[in-house]
Amino acid sequence: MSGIIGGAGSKSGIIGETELDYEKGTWTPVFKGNATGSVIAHTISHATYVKIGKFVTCQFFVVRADASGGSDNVTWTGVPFASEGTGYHASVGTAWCGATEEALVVQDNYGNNIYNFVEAGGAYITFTQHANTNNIGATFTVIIE
Amino acid sequence: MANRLDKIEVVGEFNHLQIREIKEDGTYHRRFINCNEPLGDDEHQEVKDKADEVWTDEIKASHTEKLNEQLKRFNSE
Repeated sequence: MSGIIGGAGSKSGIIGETELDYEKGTWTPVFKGNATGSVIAHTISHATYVKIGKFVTCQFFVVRADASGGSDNVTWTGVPFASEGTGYHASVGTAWCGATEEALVVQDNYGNNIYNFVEAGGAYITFTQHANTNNIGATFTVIIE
Repeated sequence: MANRLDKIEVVGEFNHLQIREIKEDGTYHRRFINCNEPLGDDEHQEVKDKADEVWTDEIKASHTEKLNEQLKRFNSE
């Protein structure tokens, strides 16, 4: 592959005659208690994305201001690109919210840019489960429009 | 807004806005704003103008209806 992968505005060169779109940057995750709940105060330690064609890998690590529990599902919005389609979009990556040792997946709620953690058994992670820590982090990939 | 506005993209059935900005260090920062999300007072004027243009009352109502419908399913699962 020829070309250079660099900073803002760069492209990754040409493979054959197909130009591969590449972009990286930061984004702003917004945490809520459920999709329509109040914003949960937090500090963003790290929130970045890398876009290669229609695949966008996002990661974040945030620290909640208050580690107390709550029955609402851990929910975040602000993923920088709209995902393709209108159904659930499970995106398995490394997802961690200090709540469980079970495998977690990251799930977009019907392509509405509303994301949750889901346990292997299908249950949504709540802030109650998460009350033992105020750290939340994940890395996940979405296919975009 | 400290960042410089670089691109506004209108995406999806409900005209959500994908905003790309350039930070002082030259790198990108992106935000996603859905059509029922309030815009801050410090939002770029171009973003406010685009929202006024594409976020019609009909679009907002349709999005709210769809979201509520989805949330019923979401909360029942």
